[in-house]
Parts: sequence; C-alpha cells; structure tokens
Amino acid sequence: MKQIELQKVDKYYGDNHVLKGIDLSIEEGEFMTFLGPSGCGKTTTLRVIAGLEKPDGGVVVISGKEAANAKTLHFMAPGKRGLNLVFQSYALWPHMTVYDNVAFVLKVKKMPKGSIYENVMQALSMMQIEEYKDRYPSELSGGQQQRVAIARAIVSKPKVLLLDEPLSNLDAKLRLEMRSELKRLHRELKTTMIYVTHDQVEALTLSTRISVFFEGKIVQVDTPMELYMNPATLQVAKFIGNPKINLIDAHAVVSEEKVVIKSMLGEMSISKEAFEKDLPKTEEWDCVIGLRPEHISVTEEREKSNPVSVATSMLAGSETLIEVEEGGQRIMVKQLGIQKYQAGDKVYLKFLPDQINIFRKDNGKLIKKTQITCPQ
Amino acid sequence: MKEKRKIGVRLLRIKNRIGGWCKEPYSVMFAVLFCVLLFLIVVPLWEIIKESLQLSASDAKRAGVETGSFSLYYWKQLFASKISFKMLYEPLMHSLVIALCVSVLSITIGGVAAWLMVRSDLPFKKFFSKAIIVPYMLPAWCKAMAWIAVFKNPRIGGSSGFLSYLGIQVPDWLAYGPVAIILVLTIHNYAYTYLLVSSALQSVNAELEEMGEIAGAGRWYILMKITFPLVLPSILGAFILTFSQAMGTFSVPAFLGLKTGYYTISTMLQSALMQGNNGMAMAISIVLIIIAAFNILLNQKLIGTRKSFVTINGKGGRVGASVQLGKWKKLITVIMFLFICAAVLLPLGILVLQSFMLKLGDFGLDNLTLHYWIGEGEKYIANGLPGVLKNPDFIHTLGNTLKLVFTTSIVAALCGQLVGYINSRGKAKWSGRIIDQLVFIPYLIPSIAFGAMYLSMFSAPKSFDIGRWTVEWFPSLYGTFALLVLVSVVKNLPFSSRSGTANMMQIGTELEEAAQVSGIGFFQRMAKIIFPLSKSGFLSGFLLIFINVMKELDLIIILVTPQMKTLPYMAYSYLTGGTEQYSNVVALIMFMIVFLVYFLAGKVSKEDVSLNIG
Repeated sequence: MKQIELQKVDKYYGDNHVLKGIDLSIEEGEFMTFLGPSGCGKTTTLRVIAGLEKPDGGVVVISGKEAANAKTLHFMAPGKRGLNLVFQSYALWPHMTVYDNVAFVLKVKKMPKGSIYENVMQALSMMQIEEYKDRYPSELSGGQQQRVAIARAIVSKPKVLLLDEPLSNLDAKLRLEMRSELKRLHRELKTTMIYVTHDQVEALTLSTRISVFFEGKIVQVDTPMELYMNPATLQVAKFIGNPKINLIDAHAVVSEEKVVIKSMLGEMSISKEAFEKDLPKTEEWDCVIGLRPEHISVTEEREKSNPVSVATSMLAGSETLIEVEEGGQRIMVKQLGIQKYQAGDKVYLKFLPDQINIFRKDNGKLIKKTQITCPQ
Repeated sequence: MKEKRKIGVRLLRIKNRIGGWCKEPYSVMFAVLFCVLLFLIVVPLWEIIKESLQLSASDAKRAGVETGSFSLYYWKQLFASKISFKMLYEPLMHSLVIALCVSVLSITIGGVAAWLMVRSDLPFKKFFSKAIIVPYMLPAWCKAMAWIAVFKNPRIGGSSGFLSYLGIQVPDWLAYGPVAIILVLTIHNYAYTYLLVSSALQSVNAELEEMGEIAGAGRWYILMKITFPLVLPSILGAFILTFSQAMGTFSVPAFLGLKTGYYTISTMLQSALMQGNNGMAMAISIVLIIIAAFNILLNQKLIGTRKSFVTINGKGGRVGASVQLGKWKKLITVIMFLFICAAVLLPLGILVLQSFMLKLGDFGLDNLTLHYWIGEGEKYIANGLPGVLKNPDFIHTLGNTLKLVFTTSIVAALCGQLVGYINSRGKAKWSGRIIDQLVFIPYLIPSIAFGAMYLSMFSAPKSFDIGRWTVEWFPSLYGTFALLVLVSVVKNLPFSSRSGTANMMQIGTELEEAAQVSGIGFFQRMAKIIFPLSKSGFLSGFLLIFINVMKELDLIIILVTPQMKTLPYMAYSYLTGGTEQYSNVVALIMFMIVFLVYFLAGKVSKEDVSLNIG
C-alpha cells in the first residue's frame, strides 16, 4: 500500500525555486533514502512531508489522507500526520533528562503514568540506552544523544519515521555502528522510514530504494543495486560510486542489428536489442561509456584493446587503485590484492562489454544498461 | 459545471487560508503585537505631529479661528520668526556642540580604557573592570549635583561649593554651562563606549593579529591596520549612540545650564511644555526625533547593519597576548586610578559628604549631622521636614518606585521575549521585520519628548460617538500608576526586545519543531520548552530594565504627580526646592538599590549584565 505520495510538489523560498515538481510515492514499510549533494532540496522535501514547510504547489497524501494541497491551501498540522522526525542536530530539549525527553510527548497527550513508563523504557531499551535515563543531554556523547533522539521519535509509534542526516555529526566509527543499528531498527519496527543523506555509502547500504535529488528535482528512484549498476544519467553516474565511474568518450555507428562503439577501449559491437528505445535518430552519434573501476582489470597479456600506460598505482589496503592513460584520457582501475606496477608500464585492459553503461552525449541519458549477472 | 467547481475551490481556498491563519500562533501573535505597537508607538508619534500643526485654544482665539484648526503657526514661529534664534537655532547649536564633544571624549576615554583592559598588562584589572562601570549606575543628574557641590561659585548665590570653601576662585565657565555639561556627560557616557569597544576587542581573534605579526608588521601597524578596522563598527556604533543620548538628555543641562540661561534643545522643549506652549514643544520634539532618525540612518549607511548597535554577542577565539606597557605601566596605572577617583569616587564621596552636612558650603567637621538621614523634624531646618528615612512620604515613594520598577521590568522583559520570539521566528518574513522596526522607534524619541507625547495622548479619555452615546474605549491615564508603567515599558522596548531577540535566537527552531511533529500544541510548547529555556535571558532582560527604570528621570518628569512619584523625581524636587541634602540622601539610597541589584545579578546570572545596560 502506498504510504506517502507527493504529486508535483513545488516550493519557493522567495524567488528561489527549491523544489521543482517533485513526484514520488513511497510504499508502506519501505526504507526510502533521499540522496543528493547539499542544497538539492532533499531536506526541504522531508520537511514538506513532515508538515514543517508548506508547499507552494502540488499535493501530499499520507496514509490515504490528503495532508497538504497547495491549491485549496489545506495543510494538515504536523502532529496529525502520524509521523515523527529525527533532526540533524538531534534537537534534544536541554532542560529535560533523557527519560523526560522521551516521555514528554506521552505526558502531554495524557497517557496513564504506568504505560508512559512502559513505553519509554521500551523505546530506551530498543536503543540500548536505559542506563542513561536520568542524565541530561549535555552529559551524553554524540552517539548517545543520537540514540535518545531516535528513542524520542519512535516512542509514539509513528507510522512513518523521518530522519534528517542523522549520522552526519558522528565520527566514522560511530557512524558505522549506528548504520547497522538503523537497519536493525527498521527490521524490528517495520515502520516506513525516510532517510536524508548526502553520503552514498549510507544510502546504498541502508535503503530499500533511493531517490536521487539534483537541483530540486528527483532524477532517479531505484533500488541501490539498480542505481549503482544503471545510473539514469551521467550526473547520477558521476555522483554514485567511489572511486568514481570512468567516463570515456566514444563514437557510435548504427547498422541494421548492431551498434559499433569506438573508443580508447577499442571497438565493440553490441546488439541493438541491448539498447533502450530513445537512441539518437541519426546513424552516427557521440556517446559516453561508463565503466566502474572494479569492472576493469589490468593485465600484461595481450588483449583486444589498445595498450595503455600506467600513470599511477596506489595501494589502498585490500585493493590497489591503478590509473592508466591513453591519448589524454585517464581510466581508474580497482583491483583486489596488492599489485605492483610502475608508472610507464605498458598494460592491457580487460572488461566485459555486458558491464558497461552507455550514455547519450547530448542529454546524458542512459541508453544501455549493464547486464546484472550476480545473484540478486 | 466546471465554473461551479472553480468557485468551490476558490471558496475552499479562502476558508482554509483564514482557518490556517487563525491556527498559526505566529500570525495571531504578530497581529496582536502589531496592533498594540501601532497604538502605543505610531499613534503617539502621529499625535505629536498633529499637535504641532493644530492651534491651541488661546492661540486660536487670538487668531480668531476655531480651536484645533490646521496651521503652520508653530513651525513658522520655530523656524522663521524673531524668536527662532533663541528658541531653536541657539539651543540646537548648543546641543550639537555638546553631543559632538561628549561623543568624541567618551569614545577616546572609553576606547583607550577598553584597549588597556583587554589587551595590555595593566595591573589591578579586576578592580578597574568593576570600578569603571560604576558611573553608569549613578544617574547622570547625580553627577551634575556632585559637580555643583564641588564647583559652585558665589556669583550665582546661595551656599558656596567645595573649591570656593577652600578659597579657590572658580570661574563661571567651569562652574556652569557647556564645559560643565560636557564633562559631566562624558563621565556618565564613557562607560557605555567602554563596554561596547571592549566586547568588540574581545571578539577579535588573536590569530588575526598573529597573522600580521608573522607577516612582519609592527605592533602599532597591527593595531592601526588590523585591530582598529575590526572594532571600527562598534566604535562608530558607540559614537552614534552617545551622540543621540547626549542630544536628547535633559537633566544634566537642566542642572548645569538653566541657572545661567544656557539652553539646549531638550531643556527648551521642557520649558516650552511648562509654559503650556504644547504646539511649539511638539515641533521641537519632531526636530529632535528627526535628528535621531538621521543618526540611525547614518549609522546604517556607515556600518551597514543596525544589529551591531546595542549588544555585540559571541566572543571570538582566544584573545591575543597582552601588550607589555613597559616603562609606561606605572604612569598609566596612576592615571587610571586618578580617573576612577575623579569619575567614580569623587561624585559618590561628595554626595555622601553633603548628605551629612547640616549647612551646605561648610566643610568643617562640626557641621556633620545625621539629621537628613534619620532626624526628627525640626522647625529651623527646612521647615521641619524630617530625615528621609523618617519621612512617611519617602517610604511611600520608595514603595511606589519599587512597585513601578518591578512591574515595569517584569512586563517589559515579558514583552521583550514575546517580540524576540516574533523577531527570531520571523527573521526572513516581512512581518518579523516590521515588528523589528516598530519596536526600535521609541529609541529615536528623546525621553523628555516621549513623556510629553504620552502626556498629550493619555491625559484625556479616548472615545467616539455613536449617535447620542459616547463610547469611551480607553480611559484617561493621567496621574495613574498604569501610565508610568506603560511609558516605561514602551520606552524600554528597544532594549528589552533586543535582549529577548538575542535570547530567542539561541533557542533553535528545531527544538520547537521536534515537539510540533509529535502533535504538541503551541501553548504546551511555550510553557514546557521555550519558557524554561529562556529563563536566564529573561532574567538579564529584567535586570537591564530594572536598572534603567530605577534611575529614570527625563522620561517621567512631566508625567508624575505628587501622589504618584518616584525616587529620582523626589530627589529632583528636593534639589530644585533648595534642600540639597535630602536630595543627596534619596539619590544615595537609589544608588544602593541599583548597586545591590547589579551585584545580585552578577551572582545569579552567568551573563554579564553590564554588556546590556543601555
């Protein structure tokens, strides 16, 4: 069942058009991540869903009820939407203890005392912070504050939990720990979660689906796997993956059944069926090949492709990053284990044509997907 | 069909817009506040203008027209008549000269003192930092009294001053008039520029100066090219502030100028009021307001923001290493001590001494008495007036003053928080900006003009006629406690709201939103989150107003009545009645209360209240 639906949501701050016609539907029980660089509108979208911002255009439907409609100026109060929000700054009330922070909402709603205690302790134990219940927020570490903020948000058992960059203030180790904690929380609570982040690793590891935002628009909504393997545009391709995807200029010639792609990687001929429908109308066109560094390997044995020379070779622990050069273009190769190459070595590149993406040069759209071969 | 649906949507829009607006606490608060401020600030301003353009009963009779008819008579008289020079141009020149000199002197003294305190290795800093701001706790007119006690010369008549008693001939120009006024006002105002500049200096990160040092610049060069430009906005701000205050100040020029016929524009305004020449007085008020407004505008142009005006918040990083004063250290320390003596101890000492002197002008030991403090009434002293502490009138006035000060401080601090809430939450909205501008207006209006404005506005009940009936919707407030509270609250609104805004800015909107998404209503949010978090800010706002109102004379001097008076007014009337010792006793008691409150404030609140004293 659809839990949340955004239809053509627009938002302006003065003359600044921050959300440009956002369309999105989120299923019940999903872990949806809004991913994008800062200032792309992901937090604003979250706040529109929460009801803290009023959209200037479009409709928001939550649990089948119209929560916001810019046309009739109908805006449901945030508290009535059956959701809760974890803020980036945690926004814990500094003058209340951990227990009071979590219990506050239940107290105001006049829940009987016994069940307040029960509910609060349940939320605290879920976040494993029962022992800190009498402390004040300032007496807790960042990670503990984060847990309190989440406990406070889940104590009223919301149908939807919104999280606004909750891990961005934690150090790397804690972030890893909280990440798996959130995954567990999602499994146990089974609530719909909407998660805002600019960290792609968080997005890829946590989400059931990811919405990628650029400049106030959603450019792709997909599972982490699809997003990584088949980014919808060049822009998304460049944004996802570290080290970055290799983008190689190429030229395509279309014949009856095949498309022949010429590039520094050599000449490939790919069946026309592998391509999407919106190919350029002409017979010859420029395109860009996208190839992830881990999908290429370097070999000294002769391959079909042209020889290339090693520019740098960097050991990064469990893997080695090798940059090769040919005709002014550089390609990054990620190879497992420790590899020894010197700058200037002549090598050959090895890759499967199934694993390349091809994008149109003119509008950056993906026109050939990779064939995902690994078991799902 | 389609037409019908369109109308339906439009109706729904209107209904939801109104409904949503009423449910939004921000907009409701804004609407209420806007109306109140309009009534208390804009309407009085309008009344001033109106009154300056309407003929009074007597003038109308002379001209043979109806009372209240429109006329430029007062303006013509003020600007282009035989008396213009005496009424406007000369007093205006006096005021401008005084304000300019006071600002320059205050900035120099305050700035140098600030630099010494913040950046040099001056010894006894702790003592100096406390002593240096004491003058601000003593009302300016107390210092004028002290001045008279020291420099009074026989030519004016009456008892002689301290110097005359010692046989030193005090020239007229030093005893009364511009020089005396400028020096007294400087001693009063330098503390403020000191506070502004020193907090600005503290916010200059040491690294900025160290960077200059690494680049090979000398001390002096760094001071002139790095430090000075960084604190320049506060210096300019302090300049404009002192200038406006000196322009509008009434009590000091009244004490030190009137006896020799030296008028400033504010004393001229008061004397016009006393003569019942209201139209003229209002016209003078407008001139004063325009000058003040021009000042602010200038400040905005020069500095770009008005925010730097009253408080500078947030300290930067580390303050750099102190500058070694070297061989100058001793000399500078001595000068500082002498200055503190002259500016702080001397006036206070004189006040104390005089309060024990049976006969003024006799500085002998056998002349000392406790009569003015605790004596029973004796026929041959001041017509049998008992000592201040034995005087039921004093006890009554003290009670009255405390009641006024407490009520005003609480109400003003609350209003300040409220305005602060609107300001901080509506920073980006036109509504927030309008409130911000509105509450600033009372700052522009000199105290004495402000008092006059409220007198003319609230002396008669406000009413309107419906057919045969007259509906009175606002009662006359003249002579009531409420009027004094109202005028003090509104006049102090710029200060209280600034402190409220700073306070509310610190409470992030997210703390409130966190409750909002859980469905917690506005009043619960206010009671359980915003208010508990703003307690300390509330306290400092309260104290700031407390001290301001406690020593206020200019504002209420034309509003008080014998039954409804305050300690400063009591001291003032004793002084003008020629019984200076009583006046000194009252002033000292007042000072003690202010000092005590200030001391307690330092204990209770971690924030330094002195930073906020306006």
